[in-house]
Amino acid sequence: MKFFVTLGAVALAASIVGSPALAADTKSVAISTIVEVPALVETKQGILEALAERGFVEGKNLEIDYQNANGNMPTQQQIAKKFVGDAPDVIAPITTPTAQAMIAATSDIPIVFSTVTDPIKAKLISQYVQPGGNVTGVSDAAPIGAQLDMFKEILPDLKKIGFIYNPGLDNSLSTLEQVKLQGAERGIEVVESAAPTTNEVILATKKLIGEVEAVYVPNDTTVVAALEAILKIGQDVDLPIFTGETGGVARGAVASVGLDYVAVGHIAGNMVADILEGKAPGEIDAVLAYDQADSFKVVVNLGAAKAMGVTIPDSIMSRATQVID
Amino acid sequence: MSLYEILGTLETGFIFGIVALGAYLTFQVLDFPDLTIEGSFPLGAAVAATLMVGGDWNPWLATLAGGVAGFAAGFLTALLNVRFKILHILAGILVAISLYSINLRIMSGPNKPLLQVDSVFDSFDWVGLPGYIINPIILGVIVLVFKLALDAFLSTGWGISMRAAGANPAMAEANGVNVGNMKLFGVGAANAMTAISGALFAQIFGASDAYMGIGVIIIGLASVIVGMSVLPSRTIFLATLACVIGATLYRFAVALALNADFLGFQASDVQFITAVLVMIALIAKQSGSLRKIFGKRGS
Repeated sequence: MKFFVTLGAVALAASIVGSPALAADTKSVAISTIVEVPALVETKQGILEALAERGFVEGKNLEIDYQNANGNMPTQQQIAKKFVGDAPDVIAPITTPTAQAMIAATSDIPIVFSTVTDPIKAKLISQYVQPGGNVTGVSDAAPIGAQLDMFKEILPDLKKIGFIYNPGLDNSLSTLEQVKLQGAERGIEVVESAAPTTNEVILATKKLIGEVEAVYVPNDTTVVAALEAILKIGQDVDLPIFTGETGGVARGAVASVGLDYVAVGHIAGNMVADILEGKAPGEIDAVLAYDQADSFKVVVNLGAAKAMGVTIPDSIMSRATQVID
Repeated sequence: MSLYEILGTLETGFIFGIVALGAYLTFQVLDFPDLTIEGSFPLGAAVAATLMVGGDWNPWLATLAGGVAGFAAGFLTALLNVRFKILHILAGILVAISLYSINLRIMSGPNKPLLQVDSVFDSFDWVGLPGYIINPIILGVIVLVFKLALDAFLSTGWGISMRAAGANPAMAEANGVNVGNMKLFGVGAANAMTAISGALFAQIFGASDAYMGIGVIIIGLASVIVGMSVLPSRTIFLATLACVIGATLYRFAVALALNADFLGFQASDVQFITAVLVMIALIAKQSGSLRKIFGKRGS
C-alpha cells in the first residue's frame, strides 16, 4: 500500500517536473491503438507526417501522447479516461473499439478516428457528410471493386474465390459482405472459410483446395498473422493467393490493389490539423479512404505469380506502382 | 494523473472488484480454479448489449439477464466437472472457448455498440452530477452490495457448507454436505458476478466486444492475490474487502504505467510496468513481514 502511494507521489512529481519545454502556442494530440500491428503503426505514422506537413511538428509546437492498450480492453478504457483528463486539443483513436471507448468517454474533445472499416455500424457517426458533434474520421474499407477487377484481369476464368477470415472481427465481416456484393456483380462466387484463431488458418486454407480458383486473404489480423502458411499451400498446389492489403504482396501474395495505411493516416492527420486550426469536427466530412485516393497502389509479385502458376498480363504490369521479383 | 483519470481508474477498479469477488469464491473458498470467467465476462456484456439494443430492455434488467447467462455458463462448467468428471481447469477452458462462438451468435457479430443507448448509469441523471463523478460512486455502491451479500451468504448454513466443501471435501461429505451441489451453485454464482461486471463494463466502454474477455482471469486472480498480500485477510469480511481493494490497486498500477512515459518507457511497455509494480507491492509486503519476524527474534 505504502509503495503504491510512494510510487504515485513520485509519478505525479516527475510528471509535473518532467514536462519538456515547448513553444507557448503548443497544441496537443493524443493517439491510441488497441494493439501494435503494421497497418495501425503506419496509420499513426501517416497522421504524424500530415501534421508535420501542416506545420505541427512533434516536440516543437506539438505534443503527442501515444498509448497502446496491448490488446486489453480495460486498459483501453483507462487510456480513454487518461486522455479525457489530460484534455488534449484532439484525440485520434485508431481501430473500432478504441474509437468507441473514446467516444463513450467524451462528447466535448474533438475525435478523429482512422482505420475503422464501418464507422456507421460501429455508431461512431450517423452519417459521413457533416457528421455533427465532436467526431469525424476515415474509414479504411478496402477498394474491393478495383481488387476484384484486377483478379479477373489476371485470371479471366475466375468463377469461385475463397475467403479466409476470422468471424470474430467486425472489419472482416464488412469486407466479406462487400466481396460477396461486388463479386456477384462480376460473376464471382465467394466460398467462405472461417479461421477463428491463427492456428486454424492452415486447415481453413486446405479446405478450399479444389473448390476455388483463387484465394482472397482480407486485411484480417488473425489470418494475416499466418499468411506465410497460406502462401506455402498456394505454391504447393498452384492456387493463386491474393491479399486485401498491398503489404501482403511483399510477403509473397500474387498481387493487390490497395490502400496505403500511411495514406489513410495522412487523411486523418489533415483532419486533425483542420481542427487544430479552428474548424469544428462535426463540420468536417468523414470519408472512405479509397474515395480520396487519386490512384490506387498496384503491387505485383512476379516470383509469387510464377510459383503459383499464373502470369501477370502486360496491362497490369504497365500500371503497377511496385513490382517485386 | 488528473482527477478525471483517478475517478476513471476507480471505475474500472470497482468493476473488476466484482470479478475479484467471484474469483475469491471459486479459487479461495471452493478451491475450484475456474477459467470460465474469460468467457462469461464478455457473455454478460453480449447478452446485456443485445437485449438493450435489439430488445429495448431496461438496462438494469438487461444487466441482470447477463448475470443469469453467466450463472448458466458457470453451472455448466461445474456440471462437466461434478457429473462427468472432467478436470475443473479443462471444463472451464471448454466452456470459455465455446462461449467465444456463442457470444458472436448472440451479438450476430463481434461488436455491439452501446453509444446511443441508455445505460444503467443514465438512470442517475436526476442527481445532477456529471458521469465521471457519479459513475464511480454507483459502481462503488454496487461492488459494496456484492461484497456484503457475499459476506452474509458465507456465514449462512449454506455458506458454511460451501466453505467446508472447499476446505476439506471428504470431511464435508462425511458431515452430510453435498459437495457437488456446492460447486454447481458456487461456480455458477461466481460467473453470474463476472457476467454482471462484464455487462457494466460494456456500458462504460461504449460497446460490447468479442475480445473483451482477454486477460480477465489474470486480472481477477492478480486482484485477489494483491489484495490478500497487502491487507490482512483473517476474516471473510476482510478477505472480500481485500479483493475489492486489490482490484482497485491493480488498476492504479496500470494507470501509473500509462503515465510512466517520462521515465523513457513507451506505450507498448504497459504490461511489463504493470507486472513490475505488482511485484514490487508483493515483495514490499513480504519483506515488511520478514523484518517483523527478524525483529522479534532479535529482541
